[in-house]
Amino acid sequence: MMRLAWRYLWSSPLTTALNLLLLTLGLAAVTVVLRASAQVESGLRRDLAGIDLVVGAKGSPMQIMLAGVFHLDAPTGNIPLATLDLLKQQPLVAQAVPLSLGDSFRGYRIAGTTPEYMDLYGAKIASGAVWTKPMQAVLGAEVARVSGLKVGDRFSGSHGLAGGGEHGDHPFEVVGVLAESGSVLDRLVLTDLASVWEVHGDHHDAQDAHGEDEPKEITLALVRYRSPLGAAMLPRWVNAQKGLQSAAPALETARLMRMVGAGTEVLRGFGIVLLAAAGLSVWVALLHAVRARQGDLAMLRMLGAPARRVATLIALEALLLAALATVLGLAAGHGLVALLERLLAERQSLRLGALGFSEAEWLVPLLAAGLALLSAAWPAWRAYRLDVTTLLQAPR
Amino acid sequence: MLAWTGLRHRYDGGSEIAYADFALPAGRHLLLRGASGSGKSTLLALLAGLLRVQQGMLRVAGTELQALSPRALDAWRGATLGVVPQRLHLSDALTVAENLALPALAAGQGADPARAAELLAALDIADLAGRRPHQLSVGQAQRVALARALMRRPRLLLADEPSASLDDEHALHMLALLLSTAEREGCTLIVASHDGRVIEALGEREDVSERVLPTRFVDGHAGEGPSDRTTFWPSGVSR
Repeated sequence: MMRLAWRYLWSSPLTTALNLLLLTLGLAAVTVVLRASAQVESGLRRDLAGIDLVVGAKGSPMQIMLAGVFHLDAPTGNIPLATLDLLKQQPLVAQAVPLSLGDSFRGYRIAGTTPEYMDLYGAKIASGAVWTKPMQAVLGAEVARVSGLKVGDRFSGSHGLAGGGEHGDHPFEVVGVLAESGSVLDRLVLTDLASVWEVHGDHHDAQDAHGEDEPKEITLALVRYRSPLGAAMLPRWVNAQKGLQSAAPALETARLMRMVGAGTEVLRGFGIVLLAAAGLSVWVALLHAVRARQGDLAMLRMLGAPARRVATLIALEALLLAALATVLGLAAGHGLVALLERLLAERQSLRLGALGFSEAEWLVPLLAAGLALLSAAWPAWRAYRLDVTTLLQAPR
Repeated sequence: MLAWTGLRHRYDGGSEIAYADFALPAGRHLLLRGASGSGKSTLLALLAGLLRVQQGMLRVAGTELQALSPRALDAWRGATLGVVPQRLHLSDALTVAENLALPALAAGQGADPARAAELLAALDIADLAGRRPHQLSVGQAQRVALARALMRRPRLLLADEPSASLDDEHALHMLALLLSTAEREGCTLIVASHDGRVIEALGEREDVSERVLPTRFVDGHAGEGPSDRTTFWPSGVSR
C-alpha cells in the first residue's frame, strides 16, 4: 500500500516536487522560529543564572541588564565599591557579586569580579585554577579557543569594550581556562576585581596625572534575593539611593522579548502563509490526482478493495509527502539556524544551538501530518465515494 | 453457476428495470447481449457486486449476493470475480508486474510473483513484466489486463466488450484467448457484447449459452431505457 502510494505520488513528479518545496519551506520557517525561540529562551535563562537584580549607575534599566547579565551593551557608568557592602548588609540580599567592566581582549570583555561570579553559573575549570591575585586571568572556553591562549600565556587588554588602546604595560597571565558552559561565561575573560583598578588606576594617572587616591568603584553589582519579598522591596530601595539604578533581569528580558518579538511574529506568520499555500496546493494536487486516476482507483475497487482502503491510499500519498517535507524542513531549518549561529558568533552576540532537537520541534511533524490529513480529507472522501459502476459503462 | 429470479433494479430517477429469470448451468459460458438501454451495464454491475440487489435473488458461483453486506461484497468480488473492462485501466504509474500485484493489494494480501510469472508466461508476455502500460500494444495490454483478472484464480471471468476498437483478426484472436484461458483456469466466462463478430463466433460454440436482454421497463416506456450515467473518463492515463 505504502509502495503504491509512493509510486502514485511520483507519477506527477513536477507537481509533487512543487508541493514538496512549498511544504518544506513552510516547515523550515516554522522550525527556525521554534528552534530560535527555544534557544534564545534557554540561552537567556542560562545567562540569568539566578540573578534577581542588577544594580548599576543611574540610567536605563535595560542597558544595565544587557551590560551586566548578557554583556551586550555598555554599562551606564560606575558605582562606589561601598555600594556592594551596603547591599550585602540588606537582610533581603542573599548574595551580591561585584562586576567591573571597561576593558576587552580581542572583542571579548574582561570582567573584574570575585570567584563567586563563576559559582553563579556553576562554572568548572577545564585547565589551571582560579586566580589568586590581581593580573591573573581565567579565560572563557570560547576566548581560549579563538585566541589560542593557554595556561601560562600572557596577554594585554585593550581599553574600552570595542577595542581601544592597549594596556601593554599591564599584561595578564592566564592561570585557568573554563569548561564550555553554553553561557555568557564562555565569552568572558575573568580576573580579580583589583586587576581592573590596577590597570585603570595607572591608566588614569598616565592620562590626567591627577595622582589622587579616588574612592574605588565597580561597574555593577549582581544580587540574589534571600526571599521573594526582595523583589517587592529591594528595587525600590535601590532606586531611592543617590546615583543607583536597579534592573530586574526577568522583567527586562520579558520586555526585550516583547520588543524583538515582532520579528519572530513576522517569521512565524510567513511560515504559516507558506504552510497554508502548501496545504492548498497539496489539496488541489490530490483532488486532481483523484480525478485523473479515477479509473485506476475504480479498478482497485473492482479488484475487491474496500472503499476505505482506496481512501487510505489517497491519505497515504499526502502523509508520505508530509513525512518527506518534515525531514527536509527540519534539515533546512537547522541549517538556517546554524547559519544564523555563525553570524551571531561573529558578532559575539546571543548564541543559538543548531544541533539536537528542542521539545517544541515535535510540533513540526505533527503540523505536517495534520496539514496532510486536512488536505487529503476531501480528495479521500471523493475516492471513497467513487462510482465503480462507471468501469462497466461504455467509454465516451 | 449463475442464476437470478425476480431480479429488479430501481434507478435514482425512479425508473425500474426487471430481468426475466435465468439460470446458467455449470460448465457453460455465457454471452450477454443487449442494445443500449437494455440494462446490460446494470446487470453486469449487479453480477460484479458493485450494485446491491434491491429485489429478487441473484446467485453467482454459489453465493446469493442479496445476502451480503457491502464489505462482504467487496471481499467476494475480489476472490470470485475477474473482470476485463472495456477500458483496461492498467495503471501507468506501475510496471506490468506491479499492475499484477494490485489484486492482492486490493485484498490486503501480499503479492504473488510466482502466480504473476505463471500467467505472463501462459499468455506469452513474460518479457513484458518490467514495462509500463504505455509501452504496450493494444493486444499486449489486453493480455496484461486478462492476467490481472486471473491473478486470484476467479471462478468467473467477466469480459465487457472485449472486441471494441479491435480489427477482425485481433477481435477473434482476443475471443479465442479468453475462451482458452477460461478453460485452462477452470472458470466460467461471461462476455458482454453487441459486436456481431463476437456474437457469430460464440454462437457457433456448443458450450456457450446466449442471453439477450430486451429493451423493456416496468414503467412501460418501451424502447427507452436509463442512459448510462455521465462518466468522467480520463484520457491518456489508463488504457
